[in-house]
Amino acid sequence: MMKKILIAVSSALMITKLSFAAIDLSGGIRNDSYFIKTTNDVNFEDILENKLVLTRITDEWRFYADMRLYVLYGNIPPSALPNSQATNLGISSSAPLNYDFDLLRAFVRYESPIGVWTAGKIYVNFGNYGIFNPFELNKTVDLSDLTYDKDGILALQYDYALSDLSGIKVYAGPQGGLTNSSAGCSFHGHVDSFDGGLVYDRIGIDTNKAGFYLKGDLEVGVNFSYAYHFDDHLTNNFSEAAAGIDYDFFDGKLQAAVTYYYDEEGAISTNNYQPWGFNDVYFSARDYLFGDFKYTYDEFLSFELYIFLNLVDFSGVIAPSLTYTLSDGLTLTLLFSYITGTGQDEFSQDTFGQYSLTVRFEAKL
Amino acid sequence: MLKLLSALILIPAFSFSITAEEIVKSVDRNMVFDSEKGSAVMVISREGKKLTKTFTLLAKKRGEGNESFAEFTNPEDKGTKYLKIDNELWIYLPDADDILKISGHMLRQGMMGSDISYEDMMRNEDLASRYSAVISGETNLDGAKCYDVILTAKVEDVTYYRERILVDEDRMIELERDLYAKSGRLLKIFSQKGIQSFNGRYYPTIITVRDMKREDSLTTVELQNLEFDIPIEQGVFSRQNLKK
Repeated sequence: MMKKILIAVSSALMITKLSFAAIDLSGGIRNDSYFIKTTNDVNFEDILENKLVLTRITDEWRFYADMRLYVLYGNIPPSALPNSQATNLGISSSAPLNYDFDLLRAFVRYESPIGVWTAGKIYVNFGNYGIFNPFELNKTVDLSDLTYDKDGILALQYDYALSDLSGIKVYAGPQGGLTNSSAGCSFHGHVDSFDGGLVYDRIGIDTNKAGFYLKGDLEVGVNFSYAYHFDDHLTNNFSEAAAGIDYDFFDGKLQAAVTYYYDEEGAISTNNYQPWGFNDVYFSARDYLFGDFKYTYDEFLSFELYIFLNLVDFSGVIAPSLTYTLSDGLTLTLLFSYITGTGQDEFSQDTFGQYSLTVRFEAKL
Repeated sequence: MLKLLSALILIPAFSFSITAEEIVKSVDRNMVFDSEKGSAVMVISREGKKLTKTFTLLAKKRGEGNESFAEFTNPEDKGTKYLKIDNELWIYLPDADDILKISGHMLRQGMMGSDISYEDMMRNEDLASRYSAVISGETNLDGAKCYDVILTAKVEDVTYYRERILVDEDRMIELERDLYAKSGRLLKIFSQKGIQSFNGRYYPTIITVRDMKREDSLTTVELQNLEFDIPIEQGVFSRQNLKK
């Protein structure tokens, strides 16, 4: 009996060991120390993010899970942080120390002879990757990190390649309930030096959008996206669009990108401002300009400046930053944000403070 | 006396038994491939600091152009993949699980911050069709006798207007390549070492690049497990393969 127990335990341990040996572990640690200067005070918040990514890849399928553990310390009300991770986490407690756990994404992807199936909590995206994408499902913007990973949604996605550079994508997501499910489809292709696509997406009851996007080269890089929003009765419609150009100078050391964003339903005066991110748009006003300028001094040091400008009240965020690579996978970033607006302006010092400094230390494991 | 002087002047013009075009074609036979597979370790050095990147590489000739696929395997960039088809580049970002098309002008940038641009790294073009060549002399490099050949672009679509290559006379492989802008400014120096034979093809396994616009900057790429002219399955150079 004892011998049988030992054999069973040994087998279980060996199986477990083999199973874990086939799973790839990666991730990182990131610490943001965030200082805000308001009219009368200086507030501080620290966010320690632990990221753990599990991946298992075989010839036909892949398992992926991205988990985040956050430890927050500080005295800044979440509403005062312009869409930082604290607000994304929905933390409302005024206690100085908070914890949160987030399963950002977890999915299984299977490559069948008739296409690729992905199921789980997945990041579904149509259109041009990056800021001001009308087809983006999650239009929150973290002004301290524009490329921060976004939460997935519960969905089943199907991708079929029509050629090396074209294909169709279809998804369905029940997170809004059976009658309020989201679903969408797109066709993407490539002509000359342009990628492009057609999109239809239904986010829920009375929330639909359809449109197209392009990205390519005309001596300079260009991109354009247009989405037509409409309800189930084809009324209450409005247009949303983004157009941008990008180029580099000094043999690629200086990169510049400028994007114009238009939301037909956006406010044209400060009296009509709504809270951020309502009705599937990015911000509150009708017109915005975004500029991103990056200078790479060398492999270890780079400087970046981005500017958000509300073209209705001309308030904005000016954010220069410096990133230094300490070693393989170890970086230090200093980000300074200056809020230009006052009073009822969207980017107002009265809401977000006069300026802020973020000190970010990041280690990729 | 006049006849002797004339002979002395004329002798250098006839001292090479090979023409510049023949040299360049011999170099192309070694350096240009139908397909390539391998892995690489890239070390970026600057002022005593180092960054190390590792990646696997697949490349294939496609008509007049080329296709290449690279996947980074070092921990910080693991899962990042690049697909280059002719002059277009796509990047797969594993954290975003999304594909980003890179504008053409960014191909001049250093790959992952190195001195090697995306264009340099994934280059597989024959020199003979793009450059006219002149032998400017002979020199000795690391104990090897080399032809000193000057290449000048004869088509518009080239990255470097002028190149100077030092070609090993025995193995007909470049040991050094100096790259110049149209203004005559020296941009980069590629040194190619660790020359090995792959079924009769000589190919470098260690490439160092110095960006002459920077001080004390060096990138070294060590190529490993190289295979040439092997069959590559359909669908490798595709957007779908970026997400696999």
